[in-house]
Amino acid sequence: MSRRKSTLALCRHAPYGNTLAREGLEAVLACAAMDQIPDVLFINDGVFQLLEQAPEGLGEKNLRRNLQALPMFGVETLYLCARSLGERGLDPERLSVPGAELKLVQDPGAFIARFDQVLSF
Amino acid sequence: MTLHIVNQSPYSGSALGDCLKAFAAGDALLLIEDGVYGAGAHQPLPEMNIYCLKADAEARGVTVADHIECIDESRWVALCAEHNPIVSWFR
Repeated sequence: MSRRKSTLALCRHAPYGNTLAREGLEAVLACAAMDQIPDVLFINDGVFQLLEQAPEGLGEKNLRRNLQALPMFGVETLYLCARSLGERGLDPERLSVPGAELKLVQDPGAFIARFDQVLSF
Repeated sequence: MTLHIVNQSPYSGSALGDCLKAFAAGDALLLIEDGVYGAGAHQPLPEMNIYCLKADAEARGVTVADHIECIDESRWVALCAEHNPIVSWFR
């Protein structure tokens, strides 16, 4: 039997400015619901998805709730690009997602290269 | 005086940098949508006449630096009426 292909979802966009952040998380949840749990790397402006959000003033649904649902679907490790956090003045010690372990990735190039397929959002 | 409006994150595009290169003394800068990521203390901005749309900053969880004034939509309209021309930096 062939080995199951490993999949990485690359989340590169901030929430609310466009729909990519939402679509990325929805794709991850859909994969996980089909028992094909991908790894998820937040990189570039995607790391802003980890911040606490209050989008009521925009009439939008809170995207961080989708992110917080990931552990319930089996996505229990979330990878964060260390350089992206540093460039944006974000302290990884001050970020958390209940039920998920946040792991810093120092070399995203080598990290991404490990996967069979990569979905970019 | 010119009102500059920026809607892109300073980390993913050149809009804010391009705007600041064309920024004259007395001009005003308004950060909206993903532009509000430029309102954190991490980003160097002019000292005076910098505004940020409050709903966009709150939605994204951005902590706005002290010298930036958070405004609502009606104040945005007022700024547009007070300034001429208005330049949108949306790319």
